[in-house]
Amino acid sequence: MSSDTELGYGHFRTLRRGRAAFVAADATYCHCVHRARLAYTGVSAARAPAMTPTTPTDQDTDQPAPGSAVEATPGAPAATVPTTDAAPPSGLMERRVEFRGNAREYFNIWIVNVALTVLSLGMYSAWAKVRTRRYLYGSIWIAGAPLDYQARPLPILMGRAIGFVLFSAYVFGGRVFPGFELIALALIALLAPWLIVRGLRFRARYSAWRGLNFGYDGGVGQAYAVFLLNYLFMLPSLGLAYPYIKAKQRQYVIAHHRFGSQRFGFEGKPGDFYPIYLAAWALAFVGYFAAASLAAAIFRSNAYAGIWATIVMGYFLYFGAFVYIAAKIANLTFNKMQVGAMRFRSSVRTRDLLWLYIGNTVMIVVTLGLAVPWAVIRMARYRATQLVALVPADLSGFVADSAIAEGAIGAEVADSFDVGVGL
Amino acid sequence: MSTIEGWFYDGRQAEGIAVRVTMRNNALCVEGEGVTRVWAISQVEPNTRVANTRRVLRLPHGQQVHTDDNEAIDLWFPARAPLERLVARLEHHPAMVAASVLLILATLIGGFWWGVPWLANKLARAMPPKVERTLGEQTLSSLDRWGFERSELNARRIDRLNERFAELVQGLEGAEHYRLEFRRADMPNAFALPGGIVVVTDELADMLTNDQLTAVMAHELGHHVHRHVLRQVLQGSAVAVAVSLMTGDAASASGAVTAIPILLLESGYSRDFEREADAYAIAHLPEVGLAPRHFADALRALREHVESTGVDDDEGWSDYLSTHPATEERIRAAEQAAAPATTAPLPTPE
Repeated sequence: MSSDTELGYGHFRTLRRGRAAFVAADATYCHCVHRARLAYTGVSAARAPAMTPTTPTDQDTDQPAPGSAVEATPGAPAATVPTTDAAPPSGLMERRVEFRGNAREYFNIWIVNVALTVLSLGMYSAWAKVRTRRYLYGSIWIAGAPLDYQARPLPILMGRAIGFVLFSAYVFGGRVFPGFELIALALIALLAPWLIVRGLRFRARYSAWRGLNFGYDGGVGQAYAVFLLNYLFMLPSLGLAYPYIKAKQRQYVIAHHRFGSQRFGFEGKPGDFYPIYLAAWALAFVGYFAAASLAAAIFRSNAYAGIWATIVMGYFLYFGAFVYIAAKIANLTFNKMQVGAMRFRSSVRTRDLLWLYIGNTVMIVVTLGLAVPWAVIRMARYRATQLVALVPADLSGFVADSAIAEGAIGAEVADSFDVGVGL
Repeated sequence: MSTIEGWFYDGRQAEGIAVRVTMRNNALCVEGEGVTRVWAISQVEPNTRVANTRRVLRLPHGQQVHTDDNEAIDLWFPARAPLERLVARLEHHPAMVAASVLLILATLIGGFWWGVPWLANKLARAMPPKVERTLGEQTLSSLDRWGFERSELNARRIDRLNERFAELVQGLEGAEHYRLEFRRADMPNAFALPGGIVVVTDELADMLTNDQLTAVMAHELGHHVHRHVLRQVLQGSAVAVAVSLMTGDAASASGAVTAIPILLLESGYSRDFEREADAYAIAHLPEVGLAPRHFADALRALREHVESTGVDDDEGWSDYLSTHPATEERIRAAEQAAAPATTAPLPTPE
């Protein structure tokens, strides 16, 4: 689930790198890669919690979830349906997704593991990653059972080593040879679809719920289409193809996930994505001109201050639009997704997310990074509380698939370069 | 012998069965509705403990037992994964957590203040001079493409300054590769490129006397001798990699969060470099028969230019953000260095 929380902060990077591209057509792939991170959270978030059905035998009493006490009898589906404003389809029980982690516990795990990473000069970092991720996964309870993260540290360490070397070369090379960064970014763009697929496969393969593993079987060829070739539409469409591209990416990522042998489905159409992006763009445009005229009026005598005020306000507007898109796309993703008979209802609000991001960023800066665990937990908890799983009373429909080990190298290189899964 | 509660998953479907789990005679017994199984302890593979998250015991054929009773599992499998067990204990120990906080803060501060500069210095000095010279030439040619123009200074002045420059580099290691270049730009400036090139703009030459320019050249040579350009590049890269690794690992880093520390650290490093280059100029100007006060005069002239154009400010707080230490402080340092030769030593102001 840590990828879920990654979403919380990833957008800043997107902000910085994608600023110019946001208003303009966002025609370059590099920008697209970074911006893709925006949606990344939504996908990973979707993947992890998606797996938590509840069993009627579950004796977990922590939470008065509707239906937890209901004996699942196929003959009496009505009895399992709790009354809500929007009644779920018959046969499904409404179970709130729970986040049981707390900041104190996570801080202890995080800080000790970071310290060990420092003492081992980075060698321990893969173990640290596995432990922190296991805590976060294990804290997400869906329908009475937690998620389980099972990756082994050693393959992650190998991927990390490669990622570290490439990233160092990228940073150092870019400073020494002007223009090197562009070449490197082009190479990354070419590699990105492959890395994304590897990352998705690895993470899905080592995520489990109720003794069954997830899986991902999206093909590399199709990944090149949705993560690279589709961007060719950007220029001719003056950027209007962007929501379409995002919709196709999300469709590709979600629909190729499996829980056991049960395929994920995604009903979201490009038509569902357009209103969200158009509203965000309109908000940013109108807001920007309003801000510019306001700044011009206030700082009439001082052009310098006026320009700065406009830039600052523009930044916040971009940020607001970004968060709006993140919230709406997260909801769309969950609401249009199904895993067998299981469905979800997500109600993330832009306003809440905005405050979370601002609070987390301020705290992290003020504490020199020590507030990172607190911020991660806060974000994960909020996302969980806004998510409801509609779970079939009988989970025996979820059955296993044959398991294949996936290398971690793709996943780790992708992490180092911040190539998110653009959804 | 104790009995704990758990869930049995057969690994073929997601429905779990509530079971009672017992460890008896090195065998794990699982009993529940429709399930009665026994495995030898050697067939059971428990995962490691993470706080109190649910524990998974892996069994043959994908079967699993899940339980929240972490204490019992720790008791039943005392010899498994000793290292991770130790880590789990450390995570639970308040003193260890406090020690980790201290270690991380100390590493951050010590690493960025001393570690990174030390490492960059070692690496920069290990860099073959040829590579450095190539870097310098490339940078100069790209600057020429990006807006520098041919100098319009008169030839006699250029010759005079080249003579001064030759005096300054005399006796330096690799002196034959050092060279002075003049260019016309939009601002008065002088800077050092890797490998021994010092660039002076016409605008700066117009502002300063030959003695003052010589002092500025000595300062730039200080950057060379101390390999500042290369060290700057190396330190900047190291900071960028370290900060993004730290924040990236925490699954949280963001441009806004990481850009600020990177900026602050890099400007802190370059302030140290400027001080070092100033000290070099002050120490070596007397060797070519010039008083350090010429350096102070050059700085003063630059400050007046900056003030008249209003591009920069030298307020106290900006010292921390600026790449140059406050000019006043540098002028004072140069004058103080000149003073001991003629008058009694003054107390150092800092």
